[in-house]
Amino acid sequence: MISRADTWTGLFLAVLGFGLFWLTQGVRITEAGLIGPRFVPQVVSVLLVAGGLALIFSKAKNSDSNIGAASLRAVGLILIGIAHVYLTPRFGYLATSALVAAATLTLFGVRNWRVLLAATLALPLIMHVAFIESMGVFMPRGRWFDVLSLIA
Amino acid sequence: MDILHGFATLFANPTALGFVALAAFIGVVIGALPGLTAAAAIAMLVPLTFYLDPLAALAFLYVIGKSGRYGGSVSAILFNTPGTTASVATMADGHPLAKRGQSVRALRMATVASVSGDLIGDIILILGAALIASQTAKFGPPEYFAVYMMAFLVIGSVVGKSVLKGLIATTLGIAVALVGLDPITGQARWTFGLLELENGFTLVPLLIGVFVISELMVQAESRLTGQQAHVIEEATGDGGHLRWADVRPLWGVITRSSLYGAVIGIMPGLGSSVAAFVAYGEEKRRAKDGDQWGTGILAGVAAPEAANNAVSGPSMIPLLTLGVPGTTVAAILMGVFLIHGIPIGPTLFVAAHDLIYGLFAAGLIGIILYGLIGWFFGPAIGRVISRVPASLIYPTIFMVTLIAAYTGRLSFWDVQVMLGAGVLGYAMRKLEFPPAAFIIAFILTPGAEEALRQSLLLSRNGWAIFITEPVAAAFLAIGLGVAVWRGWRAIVAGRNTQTKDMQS
Repeated sequence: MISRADTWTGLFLAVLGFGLFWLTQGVRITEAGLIGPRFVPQVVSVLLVAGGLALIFSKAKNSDSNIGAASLRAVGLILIGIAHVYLTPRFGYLATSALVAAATLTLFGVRNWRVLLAATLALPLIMHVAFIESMGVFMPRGRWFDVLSLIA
Repeated sequence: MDILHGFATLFANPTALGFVALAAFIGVVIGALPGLTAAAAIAMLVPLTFYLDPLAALAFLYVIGKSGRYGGSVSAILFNTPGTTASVATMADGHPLAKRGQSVRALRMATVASVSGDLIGDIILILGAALIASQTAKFGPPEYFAVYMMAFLVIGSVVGKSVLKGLIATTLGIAVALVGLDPITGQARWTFGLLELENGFTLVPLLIGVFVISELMVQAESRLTGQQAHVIEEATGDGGHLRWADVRPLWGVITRSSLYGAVIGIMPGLGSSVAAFVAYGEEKRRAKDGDQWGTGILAGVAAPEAANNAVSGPSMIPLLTLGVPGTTVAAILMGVFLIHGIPIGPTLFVAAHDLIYGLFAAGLIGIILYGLIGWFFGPAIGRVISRVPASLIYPTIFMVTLIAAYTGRLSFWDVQVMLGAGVLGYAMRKLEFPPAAFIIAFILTPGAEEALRQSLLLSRNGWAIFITEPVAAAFLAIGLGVAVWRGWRAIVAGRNTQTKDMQS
């Protein structure tokens, strides 16, 4: 039995390979007589198509792994990360990271509100001291609001 | 004598020495945390090393790799949960010992075997690397291109369960590395008109995404609320302590297992877990009491632990002599060499002599330190970890990754790349594509493309240069041979399974 996940992955890789090959047509061949900047990307595109097709027609029995089983919690972690990227320039690191900490702790199953509150306050402070104060990592102030502007 | 010079270099750098001690401790703790591998920990900590001098940075990460491998045995023995994949084989006998009230004895056996294996591996590295480098220093672009091709083929076909998926993961890694401006002509390739893509993808966000974020996604899925701690019974009488009489009959097992590990370590793509299983299987086969293995005997702890730690040193040989990382940890270290502007390859032993031997000395000091930490504090570290809920550990790691990815170039784009790489790494895990092959291919591609173009510039016979140069032809033949052999074995295994299914 051929895995459906492998069939879809193979199809995706084949389409990706075709797309990438088509995109390489825009790269000019500038080195006469030698392989130019287009050569390796084209070879890799062809290999992706070949790999994808091989995966589709592979008769090897696959494991029961299935990308469709990805849980909302796994996706939720990425959404929290995207929120961090979007909110930090607007609300500053401390406020955003407190929100991120609370959301991540909840995602990982912390339900005790005392633990949640303590960790939500402590984690951003620890990160701020460790990275921004101690290592001198520059973090832009929030454009709309920043906790630091209330303190200093 | 060079190694004495290395010790002098290290002791003249108190910062580096301090970071070696810190790494020995951090590695044991991180290795003992189920799910977080040494490679993931190193990936996450790479940005911290931007602020260190090269020796301190490399020594810190190198020693974490060593102590992390050892730390995996702590959770394997105490919780029956491997801290790293390399310690899976240790569980078979380590945990039954712990359940019989001999956890301290099992942990100390793991410590003795790990330290011995690691020391043997490092001695082979120190004696062998410079010797091999003196030969590989004569290599030109055709030989280098052949070496890179061999690495792509061997790592792609060996590192995962499926040869096809390993080779696809390698191709994907090459494709991602090609994004950006062509280094010779400056033409944009696969940049989609985005300014951020013109410099290509940087290593650190990709590393953190593929190894750490994907692991956090898997952990979030299972939503751990604490370590699944097994009851560890207290030691009874002197049965809980390791005696000389326990260790003496096992020196043969430890030495042979260390040599299996060292040989496997030199081969690109195989790594610690393969070494541990090979040593466990081989020593069980040789043992007179083979039927007792798996019930909780010390030899079953000694063999895999000696082998998986003996991989560490020799796995650096392909990196330092050819510029080809054989393991994920070596791939990350290669990235750190490049970040600090140190060109990797055989010339390293001349151009950065002090640094390399300082790094070897740091490795030896690190082994002794993690051995002492493990011997005296291993059980305590295990008990503390069992009490800290994973629901607090993983959010903390996530917060660190968000700022670590940003730190390298102070760029939120890199954080987005990390998250994207996390999704890719998660999909690869789910679909059983080896992430290590992807990362190693990403790191090797710029060098491979440069070597290919230089070779064809030098050649009067076009592509024939790769056949007419004997060393290049030999490397290509090895790569193709391994890939064909692995592919053939997979086909035969598939046919056998189908036949059995039809018969049953």
